[in-house]
Amino acid sequence: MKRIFKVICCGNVDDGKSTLLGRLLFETGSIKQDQLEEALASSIKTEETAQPDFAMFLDGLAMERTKKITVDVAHRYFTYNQIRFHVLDCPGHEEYTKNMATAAACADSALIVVDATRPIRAQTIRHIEICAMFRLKQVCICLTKYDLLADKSILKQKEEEIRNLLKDKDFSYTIFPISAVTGYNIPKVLSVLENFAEQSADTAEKNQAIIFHIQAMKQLDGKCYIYGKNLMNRPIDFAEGETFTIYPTHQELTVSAESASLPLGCIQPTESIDVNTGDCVANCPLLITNKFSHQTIFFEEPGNHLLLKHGTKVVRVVQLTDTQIQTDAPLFINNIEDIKENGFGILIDEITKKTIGCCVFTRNS
Amino acid sequence: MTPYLQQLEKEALEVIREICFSNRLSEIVVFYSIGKDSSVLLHLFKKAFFPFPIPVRFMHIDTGWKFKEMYAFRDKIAKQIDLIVYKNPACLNPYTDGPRYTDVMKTQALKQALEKYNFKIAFGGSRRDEEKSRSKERFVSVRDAENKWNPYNQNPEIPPLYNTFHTDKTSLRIFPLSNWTEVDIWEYIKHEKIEVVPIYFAHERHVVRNQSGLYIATENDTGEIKKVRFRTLGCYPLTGAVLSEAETIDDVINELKQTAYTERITRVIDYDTDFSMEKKKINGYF
Repeated sequence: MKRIFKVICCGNVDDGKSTLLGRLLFETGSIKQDQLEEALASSIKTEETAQPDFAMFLDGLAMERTKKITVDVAHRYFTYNQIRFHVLDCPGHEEYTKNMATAAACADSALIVVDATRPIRAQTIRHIEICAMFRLKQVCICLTKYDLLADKSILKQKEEEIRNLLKDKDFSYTIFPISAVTGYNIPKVLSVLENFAEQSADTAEKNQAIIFHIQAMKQLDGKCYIYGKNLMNRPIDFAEGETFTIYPTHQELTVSAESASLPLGCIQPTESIDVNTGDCVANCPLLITNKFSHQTIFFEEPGNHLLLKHGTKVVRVVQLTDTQIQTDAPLFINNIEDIKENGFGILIDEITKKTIGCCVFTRNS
Repeated sequence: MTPYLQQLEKEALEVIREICFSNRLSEIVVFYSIGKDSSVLLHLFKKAFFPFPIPVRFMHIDTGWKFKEMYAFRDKIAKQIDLIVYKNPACLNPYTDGPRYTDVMKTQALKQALEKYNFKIAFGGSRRDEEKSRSKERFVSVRDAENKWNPYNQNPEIPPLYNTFHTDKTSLRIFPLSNWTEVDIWEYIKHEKIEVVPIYFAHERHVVRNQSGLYIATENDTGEIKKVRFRTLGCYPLTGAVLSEAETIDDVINELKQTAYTERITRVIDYDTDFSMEKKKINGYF
């Protein structure tokens, strides 16, 4: 099986996100008998249909089922043509935008559902903006509820409206009508996702960048072990003799032969070096800065004492304006336009310790 | 290792290290249930800190009603790690005490143990694909002062940018295996040659059939001999067996790829009421 491909499903409340993902799970044989029976028992069935409410496969909280809305992201997995999909079902309700935004931040691509029978809603536009903010490259727009659309000629106009919304965005996208209830164009959704996953795997393979944020450094018998996480969403195979730059010191690190036998996320340099938690080891240029042009989504009203976490480093925010964040110590970042994975951080309230926002680092505009 | 399994391993190692390296080790514990997921979690802890020993303690919340094969396995593992065994002195009986049994012997016991040892951060091997309310869980999941989960207002999370902080009033539950499925667990056990309790494989055993499944025979009812295995392990009166010919890891993986049912079907406690797991988790269950 190839790498894992993460897809969010987003769009306005009631446009059919959970129903679409439920249908995809069902079509790919990912729903077991007991889950089906449970969903059937919770579904309101009409005389003509004996099929379950597909949304029941996703909406797993009591309140979600009684109110028929999604409150928080559901994570589900299925395999299709040897690709492991991790689907994240997002809430459409404005109140839960924070949960959609966090899902978008770590997704590879998006399914955006738009109800073909209704005018385009504010939350649809908001979700498109958030996908663009986190630089999702490929999106699939599904015009849902095709079966309920009396006048099919409306589709052309709807498509045009959406193309207009996407005009200034850097997406490669495809747009077509579906019906999750009847199954219309569901195979097409799967083949689009398969293409997205393959393109993304090709890009990932070509990308040799390693940005390794240090979690700890330990010494044993005169040898140095550096533990960390590579943000470039693939396991690292540190090759003997490879060299990296340490940020912020700009020292050079050479990978020892022993590193090959160490677990993932652990390297042993050829000679002892001075590094700290929060430093970064990379083979591509990073910016060392404590002033950031940013775009931030706040999950709640920010208090006066904020921390900014990026990679493995936590710093204090000393100034926050609409366009700029200044911190008390530098971070080792890239602008989101250049390297998405190293281009955003989270804001944490220093008192409550809650995550209250997510900021992307942007080029000076 | 296949790339996807390596991605899951990487994700788990990262969260384990990040939490442990950024908090006081004495306030961290790893819940160890003796099951397959716990075996994988233990293996990942060994890898995460290699070549150093695991720097945190493990804890088994015992009920006194586990399978004898589980106790034998636990005693063997206890020689490798710093393992605390905690049992609620109330000592309820699953046959006669009904739903109170799970609450007292598991949920309350867990809270008592956390308080006794002053643990603020507890790792567990739960996976999102196990159950519908778990599919909503975070890697780093916040609990309030009463150890309660609030599924309707969770802390936003963007892996791998984990918020590793807690306050005097909150504690954390950490789930490094969040994105693993049951098959992933077995594929990993196979690749890494991880030892698990032998009754995960098919063997002949006296079992009794009741309306919810096949259960191990008691003194009063010796039942009949069947070839079975256990997909999940817990307290034996509450854990159903499945008829199976799967004697090896490969057999188990093949069986799981074809099975019509999820693993939770063998657990009585998940099915006692609607949204039973959600309610238990809200009350502090893992």
